[in-house]
Formats: sequence, C-alpha cells, structure tokens
Amino acid sequence: MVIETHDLTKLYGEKVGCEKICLSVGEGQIFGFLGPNGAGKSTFVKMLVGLIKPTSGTAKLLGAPLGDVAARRRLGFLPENFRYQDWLSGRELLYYHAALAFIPRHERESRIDEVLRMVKLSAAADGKIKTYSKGMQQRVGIAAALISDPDLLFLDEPTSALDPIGRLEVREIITSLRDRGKAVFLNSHLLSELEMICDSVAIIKGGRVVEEGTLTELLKGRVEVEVTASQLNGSIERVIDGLGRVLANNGSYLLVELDSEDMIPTLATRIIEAGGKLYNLSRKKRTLEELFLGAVKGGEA
Amino acid sequence: MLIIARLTFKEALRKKILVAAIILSVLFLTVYGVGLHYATNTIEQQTAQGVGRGMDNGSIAGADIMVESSKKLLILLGLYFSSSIVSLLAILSSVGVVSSEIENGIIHAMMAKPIRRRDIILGKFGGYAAMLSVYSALLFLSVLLLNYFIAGAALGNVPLLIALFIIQPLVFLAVTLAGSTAFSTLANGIAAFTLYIASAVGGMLEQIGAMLSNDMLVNTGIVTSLLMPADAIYRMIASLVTNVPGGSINAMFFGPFGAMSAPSTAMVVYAIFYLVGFVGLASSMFSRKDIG
Ligand SMILES: Nc1ncnc2c1ncn2[C@@H]1O[C@H](COP(=O)(O)OP(=O)(O)OP(=O)(O)O)[C@@H](O)[C@H]1O
Ligand SMILES: [Mg+2]
Repeated sequence: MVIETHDLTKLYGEKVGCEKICLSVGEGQIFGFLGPNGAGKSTFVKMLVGLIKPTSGTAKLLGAPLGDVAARRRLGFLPENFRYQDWLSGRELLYYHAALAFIPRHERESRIDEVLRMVKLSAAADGKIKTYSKGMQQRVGIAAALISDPDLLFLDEPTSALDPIGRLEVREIITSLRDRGKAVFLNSHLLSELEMICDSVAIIKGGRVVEEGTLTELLKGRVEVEVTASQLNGSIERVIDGLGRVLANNGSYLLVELDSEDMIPTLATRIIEAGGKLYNLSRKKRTLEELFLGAVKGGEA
Repeated sequence: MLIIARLTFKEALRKKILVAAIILSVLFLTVYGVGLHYATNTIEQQTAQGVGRGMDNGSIAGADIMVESSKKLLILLGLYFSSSIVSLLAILSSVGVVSSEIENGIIHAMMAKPIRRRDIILGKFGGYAAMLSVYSALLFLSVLLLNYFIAGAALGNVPLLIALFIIQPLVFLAVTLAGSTAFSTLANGIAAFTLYIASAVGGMLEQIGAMLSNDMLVNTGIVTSLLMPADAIYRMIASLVTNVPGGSINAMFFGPFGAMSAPSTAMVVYAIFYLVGFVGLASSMFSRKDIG
C-alpha cells in the first residue's frame, strides 16, 4: 500500500475538516477522491503531504509515517490553489523544484526538458510565469509535481484551469504513470473524467467517507435494465411481479429495476411467455454521477 | 537549505523595497557627502584662523580636540542614519517572508518537497541575511570612504566595525522572520516597526539619561535594549569610533548619537543569542504551523 490512513481526522477548532478517514491505496492505482465543495478533500490531501497536522489518527505514505522527510522524495504534489514564484521562468521554477527534490545536478536539465514536454510547455518554458495563462500555470505546476518522477502523486483538481485538450493530456499523463506502476491520488469534481481513469474512488461528504470501493464494484450497484418490447399482453406489472419495479414506461420502452442480477434472464423469459416481442434488453450501467448524487444527496450536511 | 537561501536571495534582490533603499541610500550619501564637505571646510578654516591669531599651545591642543570631535561626530551621524536605513530595510523586506507566501499559496508546493521546515526557515533567513550583509557592508564602507576622502578622517578596526554594523539588520531580520511565522504580514509589519521605534527612542533616552545622570532614563534604555538589542550594537560601534585610546574627547559632545552610556561586550553576546533565539523560535513556530 502506498497510502494507508487510519481514523485520520482534522478539526479546525469546532469545525470538521475531515473525520476518521480510513483509506488505502495500492501501487499502480489511480484513486479518485470526490465530494461536494467543503467536504474535506483538500484537507485530507494537505494532511498527507504535510501542510497541516492531523488532529488525530495515523497514516503511512510509501511505508513511512506522516512527516517523514525522506519519503517525500518519492512524492509529487499539485496544490489546489497553485501559485508559483511568478518572477521566475517556467524553466527556472522547475530547476528549483528539481534541486529541492534532490535530483542530481547532471540529470536536472534533461529531466526538466522531459516534464516540460509532458505538459506541453516546452515553447513557453523561458517566459516568466507571470506572463502565463492560468492553464499554463497549472501545467507548470503539474510539471513541478512530476519533476522527481514520484511513486505517489497527489493532484488536487489538476485540470480545473485546463482546456479539453489539456484535460485529455493530463489523463494520458496519469494513465501512463499508472502503467509504470505509480500511484495517483486525484481530487476532482469532474466525475466523467474520474470515471474514465480511476481504478478506485471514495466519496466524502461532510468530512466522512460515505462510499468507497473499486469503480467497477461501485457502479454495479443496482440492477437496471432497459427493455424495448411490443405486444406485451396484459399489464407489465404482472410480468415484473416479484422481480422488481418499473421506473419508467413509455409504451414499448421500459426502464426496470430488478432486485438482483439473476433476474435478468427470468425477465426475458416472462416477456416472451407473455407473448411480447423483445427488441432490446440491456443492462444499464450506473454512471459515477448517479452514484455520486445518490451518495451525497439526502439531507444536506 | 542552500537552495532555499539562493531562491530567497534572488527574491530579496527583486523586491521593490530594495530599490527604494538603494535610492534612499544614494540620496543620503549625496546629502551626507555635501554636508561633510562644507562641515570640513568650516572646521579647517576656523582652526587655521585660530592658529593664525596666535593661540597658545593649550588652546591649540583644545582646538585639535574640537576638530577631532567634530569629525567623529560627522562619522557617527553617517553611521547612525545608515544603521536606520539597513534596519528598516531588514524589517520592510522580510516582513512577509513566511506569512505572505502562505497567504498567496506560493509555499504550498514547497511544503511537499523533501526538506525540513527548519531548513526552509534557515534558508529564508540565510537568503535575506546575505542580501542585508552585502548591502550593509557597502553602505558602511561608503560612509567611511566619504569621510576618508572628503574629511580625511579614517577609522581603525574596520572589520570589527563592519561585523557589528551588520548585526543590526540581522537582529531585526530574525525578529521579523519569527513574527511572520505567527502573524499576518500587516500585523507583523506594525509590530516590527514599533519595535524599531522603541529601540531607537530607548537608545536616545539612555544617552540623554546618562548625560543628565538620570537613572530612570538609563534604565528605560537598558530595557529597550533587552527587547531589541540593535541600538545597543550601534552604541558599541559609536563607543569604538569615539573612544580612541589616549583620546580625551568628551562623550557628552556626541549627544544622542554617541555612547555616553556605553554597552558592555555582554550586550553583543546578548544580541547574538537574541538573533539565534529568534531564528530558533521562527523555526519551531513554523514547524508546528498549519499551512493553508
Ligand atoms: N484553514 C481553515 N480553517 C478553518 N476551516 C477550514 C480551513 N480549511 C478548510 N476548512 C473547512 O474544512 C472543510 C473542508 O475543506 P476542504 O478545503 O478540505 O474542502 P474540499 O473538499 O477540498 O472542497 P472544494 O471542493 O471546495 O475544494 C470546509 O468546511 C472548510 O470550511
Ligand atoms: Mg479542495
């Protein structure tokens, strides 16, 4: 495990930042951390990278306890409100980050060129950061986080300022890291993005984890099937009886929720038995958005 | 730590306040040089007239002392105001050294790097200390050179004097650095500036107290020197400048710029402990601080 937390809690006075968070993230995993604004995502990441101290609980990063300076050599971090020494050029900034990450002198130049290429900033590298657009600043921030080729990368909303191409490029960077066995911890609101790349996610609300697991597991969830059938004799209710319930009914199109997976073939048989012509029966996958809304709604925190 | 110092040094060099300090210093040195020129002329004319009028030996010796004292006073004036300039530069340039970086978020990405917080503080201190030391040494030497070439006055023991002179801004730097780990930039600025004023006024009161033999005033000065030893360091310099061995200058002559009530060497040791103590305090407060 590259991240293991146990009851990690941060209180800001009376206010809960996050509470009793137990998570583990393995090597080569992309872990998505999501939740509404103010849920405690950034608080959690800030505790792990050492900006703030937990009120209670313990955590291990890359096998070392929190605050271990040596372990940070293998860590990358893009803060949520990224701001850099904007009087430096992108290249100079990366030089300092490389030096602070103890990258040997003779490797710095080539490493800097490499990360600049990764974030597509080579052309602007010698311009001052203050002349960069917001998205370019975020790119240079990502480059700074990548400079030490970290085994564990924390990205707090890494694509908030990026254009669609930039987002795609960041997704590609992230997946290529995973392919090389690195772990990425991703805070984001962009559910469709997370859905595309994450292996596991946790949903946090009001400082507590309310849902957690691998994406495939979580999205399985309820069994919803779309049915297109005509000439169903009798009422649909009779067909469905004992299997689940009808969520939508537009004549020949039905959306049905079944009590279990095993009932999908049963449903098909019943439709046929009732004399129906079955044109389509497909299992509807839950989207991450539905999962998120389901987990987060229901009484505002 | 060295890399932070380098980054901080670079940052310190591009502060607007440094440009302001340079302009102020050039202006000051110009006015000072001109003043020095006319003052020297006047002193020399008067001496020449005195000798011409046929003074007796005793009066000539008295006039020599007068000339000597006046030249020393001119040096002290230069050093006093130079001290003020470097002290204020120390305060104003480093007032937000930690707080403003937390406020604007620049420090966030830095905190995840494999460096100890203590090293961040030491690096920041080092960066500013380097800038202030170079600046102070240059300003000090400028004042001495002006005196040498215009007034023909030279000082002995220059390295020691420079070292003492540099301690002044460093003491302010240490306090301001500690303050910026605890307070907002604005609050820290106000606090540090108040400390500066207290130290300057306290130092003057102590000299006036010594002249009037008023213990109350002297004690006030001693208390402010304990709170902020920079002024005591200046008095140390003043006493080294004015108390030439075998000299017979009356310290009273230099008024609030002199060292009638001269600090002991213990004060220098205290100042160094004070400096180290505040850097240590800054480091320990910063290590415990939640950032963001
Ligand atoms: N420095 C602080 N002092 C007091 N409360 C804070 C502080 N930082 C965060 N909080 C509180 O902690 C909670 C979690 O904040 P956090 O920044 O972790 O949210 P988040 O999930 O990252 O939200 P967002 O999606 O808006 O980035 C919020 O209620 C916030 O008000
Ligand atoms: Mg956040």
